[in-house]
Amino acid sequence: MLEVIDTISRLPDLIGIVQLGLLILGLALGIVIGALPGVGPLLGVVMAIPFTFYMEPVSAMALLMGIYQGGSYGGALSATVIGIPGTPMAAATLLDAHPMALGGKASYAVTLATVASSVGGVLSALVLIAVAPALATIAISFGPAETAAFALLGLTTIGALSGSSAIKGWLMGFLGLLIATVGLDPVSGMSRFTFGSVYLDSGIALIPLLVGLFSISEILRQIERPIRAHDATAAVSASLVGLKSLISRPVGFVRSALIGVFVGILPGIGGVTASFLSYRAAMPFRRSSDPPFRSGNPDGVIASEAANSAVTGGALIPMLALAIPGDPIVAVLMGGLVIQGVQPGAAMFTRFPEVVDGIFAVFLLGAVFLLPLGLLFVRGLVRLLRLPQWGIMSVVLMVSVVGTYAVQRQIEDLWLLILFGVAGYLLRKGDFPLAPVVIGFVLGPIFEKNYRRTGLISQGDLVGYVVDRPIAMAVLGVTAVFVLVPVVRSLMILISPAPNHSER
Amino acid sequence: MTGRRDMLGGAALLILTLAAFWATGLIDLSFASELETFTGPRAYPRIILSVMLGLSVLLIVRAALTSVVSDEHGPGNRRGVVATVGLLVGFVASFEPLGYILTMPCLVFAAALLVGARRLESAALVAIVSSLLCLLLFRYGLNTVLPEGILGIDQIF
Repeated sequence: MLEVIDTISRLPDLIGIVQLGLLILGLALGIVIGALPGVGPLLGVVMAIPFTFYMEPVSAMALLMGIYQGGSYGGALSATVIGIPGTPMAAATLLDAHPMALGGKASYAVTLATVASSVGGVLSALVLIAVAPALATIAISFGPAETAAFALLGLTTIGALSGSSAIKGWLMGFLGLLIATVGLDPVSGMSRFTFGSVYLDSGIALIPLLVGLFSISEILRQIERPIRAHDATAAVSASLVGLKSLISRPVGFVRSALIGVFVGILPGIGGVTASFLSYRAAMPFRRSSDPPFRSGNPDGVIASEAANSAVTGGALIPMLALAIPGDPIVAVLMGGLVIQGVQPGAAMFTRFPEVVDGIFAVFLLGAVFLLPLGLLFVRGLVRLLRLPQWGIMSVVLMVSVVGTYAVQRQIEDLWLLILFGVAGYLLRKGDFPLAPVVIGFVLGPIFEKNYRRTGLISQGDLVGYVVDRPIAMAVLGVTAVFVLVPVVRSLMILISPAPNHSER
Repeated sequence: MTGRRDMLGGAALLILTLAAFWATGLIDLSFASELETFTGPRAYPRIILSVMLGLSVLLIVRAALTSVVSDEHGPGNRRGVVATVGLLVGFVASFEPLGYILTMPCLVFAAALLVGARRLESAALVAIVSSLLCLLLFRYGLNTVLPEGILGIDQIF
């Protein structure tokens, strides 16, 4: 609690006018990107990464986290006005917000979504500021065995939580780990998988991997199956009744935000699950004066939006304190920090306290500014929804290509961009999740460094050494549960296949 | 079809894994520590590959034992995808020799048509204006040197 008060009291000293400007720019871009179907906050953050090369760490995080927060909210706008969620996270919002818009209450629905997103973000920021330093204090005593165990846990939970596609999730996570091994071996300095290429000696660069996997593959997917034209004709503006809901429905905001934070902390679940969990949790509390859920219930909009916004703060906790990225956007943010020379994890709180404080301040202010910005731009944003998809995607392609090239000015980066773009497209077609590749790639160097350090410290007796480390053993035990449950489920399916079983 | 897709995906990853396994034999161990029997520069990628091998086989077996689900979406515009990849390859091959000013508007124009632009004038306008704005942002906003090619950027601006 003291951490929260301390951070709030020092806000003016923690970020300057440049960071504030970048935060507002990020929020505005994020809202637009989140509202445009087929773009989304992940693609927005990926495209912005190359620009952060020219910034110091807190400025870079201000831009990226602004896009993350704005993008998480922006999807609600298209879900309300045109009935297409701009982001998957806004799918639960659509259930009530779109019926409200069809009933002539578009302004009320959008204002509710904006207030809920802002409140969810603020509450998750407060939890982030209170919990992350405490967790880091515990984690600072961890040795390489514990750190490697946590990294493995982060990787396996992603697969375990992918439902019936756990095998695919793990395969992609381990593919990410494998890609991270390309380049010079961190201990012996010998080349691995470089085939004599000097370019590959420094490893696979993060930017071509990210932009290729998410941006180029998305463009190829949209060329194969174009998104239909939108019909955004509703007039939307801020609604006073929507703003007053904060006073008239406070419990819904807090309950949904807490669900979002909790889900966000758990690696691999993400905003979509949080929205639907929160939506379901709100259903028993329906007021008799409100319409039923799925027919324009205001609590449905609040539940979904407050939860998916709160996920953002929750997901930052394990990333900052343990270097475990809980979702793909946070993995990209983590990559953005690594590019800046700041390694997330417990040591970051002592080595780079100004960056940690800056991130806290930026995140809290971002959630606060989301409310006025969202309401201010709502009218113009509806017009943006009428932009043709070909215009958006051709510009996305241009920024992706130039952004990737500009970082190192090496043409090989563009060849890698195409390679990962085609690979991402084929993996999408095979229903392989792409997020674990990035998480595996970002976790790879941390896992390898600590795993191999453990091997050296143990003097060759790796098992004996780890058995004597209770925290590492406990984390490995949890990891084993996450691995065994889906494996047993898969084996049971193999042993007794149902006549009409399919994996969908 | 989902079952077939899993089978193909699993087989492709299995081939990749086996190829990478072979490539681990090329890793030089002259400077590796004797203490790194199970964690060394060759052992570490092999552990990852062993897990991938097991998972690929599991995926293939599961796909073989589960029934096939039809893809309700149909084949889609695959020619467009191949054309876009070809366009990107052509762009990357000519980006440095020809330069930003000649290649980028062409890329954006062709991409706009492939994504679904109906009017050539609109696509051309978006290509020229967006390429110009992008150049100004990177060259003069972020001070990044983009390929000059046969038309020097500084000679034009």
